[in-house]
Amino acid sequence: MVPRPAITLGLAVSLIVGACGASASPAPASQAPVSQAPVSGAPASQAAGPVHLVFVAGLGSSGQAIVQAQLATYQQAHPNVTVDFQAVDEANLLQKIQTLKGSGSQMDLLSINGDAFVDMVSLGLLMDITDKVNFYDRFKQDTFYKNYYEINGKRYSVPAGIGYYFTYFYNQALFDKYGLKPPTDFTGVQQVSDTLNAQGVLPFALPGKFNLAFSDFTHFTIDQTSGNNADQVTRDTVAGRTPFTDKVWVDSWNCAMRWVTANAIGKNYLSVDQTGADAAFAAGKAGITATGNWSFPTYLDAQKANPDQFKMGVMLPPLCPEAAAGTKPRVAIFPGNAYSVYAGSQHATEAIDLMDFLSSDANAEQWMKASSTNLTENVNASNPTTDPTQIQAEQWFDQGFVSPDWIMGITLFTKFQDEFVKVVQGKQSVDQGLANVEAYRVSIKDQLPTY
Amino acid sequence: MVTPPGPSTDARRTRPRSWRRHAVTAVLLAPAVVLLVVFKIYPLLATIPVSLFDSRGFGTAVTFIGLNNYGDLLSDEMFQRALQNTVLFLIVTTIGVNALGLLFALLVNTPKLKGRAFFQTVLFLPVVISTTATAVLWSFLLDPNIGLIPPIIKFLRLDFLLPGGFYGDPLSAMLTVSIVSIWQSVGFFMIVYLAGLHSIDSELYDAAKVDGAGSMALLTKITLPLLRPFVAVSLTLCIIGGFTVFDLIYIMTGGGPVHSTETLMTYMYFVAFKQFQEGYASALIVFILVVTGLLGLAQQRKFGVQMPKGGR
Repeated sequence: MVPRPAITLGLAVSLIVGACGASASPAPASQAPVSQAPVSGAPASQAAGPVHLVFVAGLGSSGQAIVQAQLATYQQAHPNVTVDFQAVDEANLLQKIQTLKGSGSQMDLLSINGDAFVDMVSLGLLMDITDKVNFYDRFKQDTFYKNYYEINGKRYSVPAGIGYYFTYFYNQALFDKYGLKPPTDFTGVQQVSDTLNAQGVLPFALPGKFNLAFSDFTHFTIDQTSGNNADQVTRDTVAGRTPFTDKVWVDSWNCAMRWVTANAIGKNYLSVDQTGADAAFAAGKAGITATGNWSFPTYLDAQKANPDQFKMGVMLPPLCPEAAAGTKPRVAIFPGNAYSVYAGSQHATEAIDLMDFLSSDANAEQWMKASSTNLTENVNASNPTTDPTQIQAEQWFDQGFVSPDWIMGITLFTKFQDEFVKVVQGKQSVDQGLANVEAYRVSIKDQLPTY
Repeated sequence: MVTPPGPSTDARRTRPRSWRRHAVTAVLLAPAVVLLVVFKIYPLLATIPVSLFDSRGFGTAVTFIGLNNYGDLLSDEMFQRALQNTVLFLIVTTIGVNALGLLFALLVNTPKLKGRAFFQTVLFLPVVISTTATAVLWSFLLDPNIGLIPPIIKFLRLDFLLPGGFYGDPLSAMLTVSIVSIWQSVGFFMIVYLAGLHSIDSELYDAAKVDGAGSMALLTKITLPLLRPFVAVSLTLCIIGGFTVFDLIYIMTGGGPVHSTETLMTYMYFVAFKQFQEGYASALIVFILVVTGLLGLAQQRKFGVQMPKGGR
C-alpha cells in the first residue's frame, strides 16, 4: 500500500504540474447579441436590425490603436453595428484564425499580413470578393495592388492603403569616419568588409538566428539575375514552370553567397536576432543592415540621440556580376496589410461595407502618418516628410519589385531559407540546396497557387 | 471521560469522521479535478482519434488513414532530429537541475549559514520570472554584438570555444538553451530537495555521529538514500518538462539555427500551426504522451515512492 504522505506528495506534484502547464487561454469571442442574415445588395449601414461583426486583425500595438479609432468612428455612424475587435500579433494570426475556425467561432473581417496571404487563400480562409468590391480606382497604382491581392484571377483582399519597402541601410557617420561609400557592386562590398573588419566593426549586421534573415540577400539577387523580373520568375517557379534548379535561381544564390565569402556577415551571425542586429547597427557597431521603412522611427531616434555615432542612410542593393546587362538594382516591396472577408462569414455584406470604410482614402492616410513614412500608393495622401533620405526611398519604392516570400507564402519560403542557410554553413552546395527546395515545392504543389 | 477501548466503538466513531473528511477532500479537490479533466485529460484523449486522420487546416475535410501518421514518424528525418535534440536537452537539464538543486539545498540547509533566507530567495527568484522574460533577457545577455556576456568570455580568452557565438553550431545552441533552462528551474528543485532534507529525522544523524560517521558517510548513507522519493519526483518532473519544453526554446531560438534546437514540441508546433497537418501533429503529441508516461512509470518502478519513515 502506498503511504498517505506519498499520495499527498504525488497529488501536490500533479496539481503543480497541471497548474504550471496551464497557460492563460484567450477569452472566448464574445457572443453576438443578435445575429441577422446579410441584407443582400443593400448597404450594411442601412440595415435595420442590430448586426454583430467579429474583426480579427494581425496588428502591432500602433496598428491596433489606429484601427480601433477608425472602428469607433464607423460605429458612431452605424449604431446598429457592433464590432468585436480581436487583435493578435502578426506572427500568430494564421494560428488564431485556424483555431477560431476549428472551434466554429464567428469571424467576419480579417486584417492580414501579406506574408500569410498565399497560405490563407490555399487554406480556403478568404472569401472570393472579385465581384463584390470595385474600389481599386482609389489607388494610384491600380494594377500593382490588383496583382498582389489576386490569385489565379480571383480577388481576395483590398489594401489598407500602405506598402512597405525593404532594402539595405548603412551608417553614414561610420562610413564617413572611415572614408567609405555605400557599395554599388561586390568589389565595393569587399572593400567595405575589409575596412570595417580591420577596425573591429561588423560590416553587416545580419540577424541569422531566425533563418528568414537570409531574405536580406536572396530577395535582391533573384530580381537581378532575372533581369528585374523577380515577380514573374517567382510566380513561374511556384507554379512549376521555372523550377528552383533553373540557372536564374542558381545564379541568384551564388550572388547572395558573395556577402558570405566577402566576410561581411561575421562568424557569429547565427547568434544574432533582429533586435540585436538593430541595436548593434544603431550603436555604431555595424556598418550595414537590411530592413524596411518601418525601421525609420527607430533609426531617426538613434540619430537624434547620437549624431556623431549614427546617421541613417539608405542604399540600393549592390549589383550582382551574374545580373544580365541593363539590370538595375531595386528595392523589394511588401504590398502590406490588407483587409479580407472570412470565407465563412454570415455577414459578408456588412463586413464588406466595413472593409470599404477602413480602406478609404482618409483611413489609409492615417496609417501612413502613424507609421512615420511617406510611402503610400493612396493618390490622395499627403506627404508629411521633408527628410531627403525618405524622399529618395519613396522614389525607389515606386520602381521596386514585390518580395519573393510574399509570392511564395510562408510555407514554401521557410523551406527556401532553411536550405540557403545550409549552403551558407557549407553543409551543401547551391545546386543541392535548390534541388531540395524544388523537391519540397513538388511535394506541396497542391497547396500552391498556379498563378 | 475515558472511552473504553473496543473495536465496535472505534468503528462507530471513526466511520462518520472519515466520511466527512473524505467529503471535504473531494469538495476541495473537485475544482482542480474538473479543470484537469476538461482542459488536460479530455483534449489529450481527443487527440488520439485525430491522429488517425490526414487533414490540412482546422475544420477542413479529413481522410481516415489509420496508423499511417505513426508510420510516417519513423521515416521523418526532422522528427528524428527533434527527438535527438529533446533527449539531449532532457539529459543535460536533468543532470544540471538535480545536481545543482541538491547541492544548493545542502548548502542552504547548513545550520551555521548566515543569510540563509537571502540565498534561498536569490536562488528561487528565476523560478518566478516568466519563461518569456527569461528567454528575452538571456537573448540580450548572449548577443555577440551588444550582450554583456560575450565580452567577458573574450576577456577570459575563452572565445575560441564559441567561434560562432552561443548559437553558432548545433551543440553550443542546445547547450545554451539547456543552461538557461537550468538557471531558471534549479531554484524549484532546490526547494524540493530542501523539503526532503527537512523530512529526515535529525535523530538519525545524531545516532550516526555517535557511531563515528563523517560528513561524507552521513551524506551517502543517510541523506541520499532517504531522498529517494524526492529524486523520483524530481526525475518525473524533469522528464515531463524535458519532453514538453517549448516556450523557452521557441522564444530564444525558434528551433533554429537550421533546426539545431528543434525539439519535439517546437516541431509539433511547426507541423500543427505552420504546416497545418493536425493529424500528423496529433500523432506526435500521442508519441510524446506515451514516451513520457512510460519513462515516468519506469523511473517510479526504479525509485519507488516510499517516504522516509518518520517523515511528513
